[in-house]
Amino acid sequence: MSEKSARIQDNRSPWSRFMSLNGSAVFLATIAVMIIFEVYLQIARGSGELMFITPSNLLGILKQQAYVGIIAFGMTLVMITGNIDLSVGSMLTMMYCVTAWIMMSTDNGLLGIFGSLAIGALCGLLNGVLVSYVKLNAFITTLGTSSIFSALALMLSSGKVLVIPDNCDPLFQVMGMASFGPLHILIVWFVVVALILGFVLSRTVYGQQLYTIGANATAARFSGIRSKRNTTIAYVITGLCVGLASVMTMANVKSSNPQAGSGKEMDIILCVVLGGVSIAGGKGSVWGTIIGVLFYGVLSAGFTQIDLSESQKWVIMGLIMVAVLSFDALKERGVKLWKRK
Amino acid sequence: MSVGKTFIELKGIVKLFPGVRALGGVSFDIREGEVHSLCGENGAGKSTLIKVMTGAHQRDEGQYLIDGKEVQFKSTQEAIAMGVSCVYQELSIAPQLDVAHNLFIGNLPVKGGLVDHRTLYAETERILAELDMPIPAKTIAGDLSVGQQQMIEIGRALTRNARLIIMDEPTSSLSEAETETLFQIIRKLVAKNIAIVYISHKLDEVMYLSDRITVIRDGENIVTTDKEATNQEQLIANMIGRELSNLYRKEPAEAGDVVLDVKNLTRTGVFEDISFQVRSGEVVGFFGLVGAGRSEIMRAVFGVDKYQSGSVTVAGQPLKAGDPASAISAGVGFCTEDRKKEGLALRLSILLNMTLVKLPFLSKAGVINRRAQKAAADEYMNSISIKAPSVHQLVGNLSGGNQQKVVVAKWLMMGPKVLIVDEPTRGIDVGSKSEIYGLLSDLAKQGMAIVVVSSEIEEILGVCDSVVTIFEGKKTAQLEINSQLTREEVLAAALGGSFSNGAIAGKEAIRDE
Repeated sequence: MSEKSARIQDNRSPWSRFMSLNGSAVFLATIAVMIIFEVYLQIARGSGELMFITPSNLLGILKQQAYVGIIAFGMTLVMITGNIDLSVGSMLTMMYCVTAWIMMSTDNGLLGIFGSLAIGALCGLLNGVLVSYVKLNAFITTLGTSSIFSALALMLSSGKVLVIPDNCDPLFQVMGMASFGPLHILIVWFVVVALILGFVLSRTVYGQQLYTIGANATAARFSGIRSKRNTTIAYVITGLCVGLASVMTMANVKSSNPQAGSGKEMDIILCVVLGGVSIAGGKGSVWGTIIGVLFYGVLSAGFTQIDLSESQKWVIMGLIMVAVLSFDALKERGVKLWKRK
Repeated sequence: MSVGKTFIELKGIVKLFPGVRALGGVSFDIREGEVHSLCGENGAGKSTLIKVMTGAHQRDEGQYLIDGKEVQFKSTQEAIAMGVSCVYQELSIAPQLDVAHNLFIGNLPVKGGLVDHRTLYAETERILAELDMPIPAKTIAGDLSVGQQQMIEIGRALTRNARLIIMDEPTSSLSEAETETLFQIIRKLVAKNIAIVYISHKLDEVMYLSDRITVIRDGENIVTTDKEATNQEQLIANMIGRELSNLYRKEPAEAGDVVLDVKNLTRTGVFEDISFQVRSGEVVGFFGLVGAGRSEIMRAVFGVDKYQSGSVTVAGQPLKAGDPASAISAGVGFCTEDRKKEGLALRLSILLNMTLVKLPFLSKAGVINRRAQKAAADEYMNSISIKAPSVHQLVGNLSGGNQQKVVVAKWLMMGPKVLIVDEPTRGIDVGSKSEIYGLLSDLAKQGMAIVVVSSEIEEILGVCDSVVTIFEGKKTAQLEINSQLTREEVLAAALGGSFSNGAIAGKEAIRDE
């Protein structure tokens, strides 16, 4: 009965219902940006054929950003609890070195894969325990562990580029080299992690409890939710995601630069926030983060393809992000940007 | 009192929210120098009407006239500039700033582009005198009592030359003495031709203060009358749309085995050596002064606070100290005093809030059975009649009474053996109060063991089988409630037994901290 009356009373147009979904503004912006790049490329060097919006270009973008996306999914869980992980960039750098080091010294694919995942999970556990059980501020803690991870990366690599031999264990190579028809395995990983974590967030008790922890930690405690344990698990999942990102990237490019992941945490957090996760916690979804990653990927690829310099690229990127975030914030506050006639 | 001229007029105000018609054509007028009370149950539309008046919301239809001219406020600042100010239930004091800066916040006197401190403090002294507040203008606002902070809020309206001051539940956190001061101030303001819109659930206050009273219900105005032409019973009938025969309902229930057994519970410096038992079907009240330690005892029993010694046993099963999850799995539910802080995640849906505790049981291997979850929530939406378009509505959009029902549903859903309710009816209208009392009685009859913590003695006498009195962290008595037990006996016990019956002036003494 209440279901019925709900439907009668929800007299919003399909448009406004779509716009109230997580990240829908960013989704539209992504499409708009794709069209703008296409038009620009056509005007600049038109060939009569589509240049930007082609399956191979779009799949390429997805392949390129798959590792950012995977870590962003883990970060989504952490940020929904109202925390943050600023260490993922340095953790990634360190994990590249760890993965490369394991492969160079053992050439055992299984060890390379599971060793990397385990060490990633341990790094996440360190963050999680410090934040939840020692009750340190998440910003400061993960900033601290971030510098530890950077330093470890330098120690492991002695500041040099580590190279995994091209003829290393094929089991390891599969992780980043295989493809299924047009789908590169990096994209498959992206989809698999999205499906798993999307399911965890929306369908499991654990996922739903994460929202409550972020929305009201006190109420969560009064409802018997084990916030410390749950938050720690979110950090561990993020560490696992970093481990996976490292394995698949190293299997793909086979060399680690001791700076490779630095600063990536900002890109990752931007993807998550663009996708509608609130910095304050309690809000967001994996679906939203996927859109955030797509937007970010399309923009950065597009800027490279129209030959913008790195600095120009970042100015425009920053402006667009501020604009999109403002739009979402205004929508949140119920401000109407234009009047209906 | 002479009848002032009509100053503000609202005609046929309609306000729509997604899926809800909050106001369906309300008309309301305010005369200069009158106290006009606005009564209605939670969710009747009082707050929305106030927000339309103060410019926090924009009306969808209708007219809003000030001095006969139509106005369209886009912000509260515009309304303040026209003389319409509001003192909200939640105080907006900046605790680090001094009284003067709080009074003139956003409105500091300026000379040559700089803050004119001399005028600031001189004006502050003047307003403090007007408010009968003998405190220095440089007092830090955070050091003031809640009552004094409320006065600062009213003073703030005065600095802006308010012609109308809206007071939303101004006495909910005031002591009796502070309430009395507030009433005197209201009289003074009225004498200066300032109009007051007074909103309160306390009908005795409404009857005492008002010149006129307007009742709204379900977003429609029911009646506006002079105070002399009405009485409390009629107001209640108008508010809930029917006669309320008996506020308290307590049907006898058969007391069974001891379910909750608390022995020698001690938390150093907070409470000491507390023992009590609650049988199934029994309702035990906890009564004492504010700060006596009633809520703290319950928090320890439930496990959100730690304790040094003693034990808590539920149906023979000892609870792990400091672990709410253990209490919950043993079958203890706890509706806390502060639903917004401790009970609900306002930014999340009714569905999730309501099923939060039950969720592990509505799932298999950690995966939620969404159909079962929705069905469970829908069942309680109907059975305790929560007014919302659907379970997907955010809890933050509900009225106070409906929010409270969501908290109650959350605990009922798990089928508790013991239910602890702390101030179950604070800030709730009579209609919902009566429903909650009825619900407690039904639950006891079904064999639940219930603990009611309350600072309202009538409530304790009306719904409980026995009452435990707490004084300075110690249990002073456990009295059986029957027709012989008087308020005075309970009060005397709650005051440590050190007062004679005649010396107690009723619950007024209790309300004072």
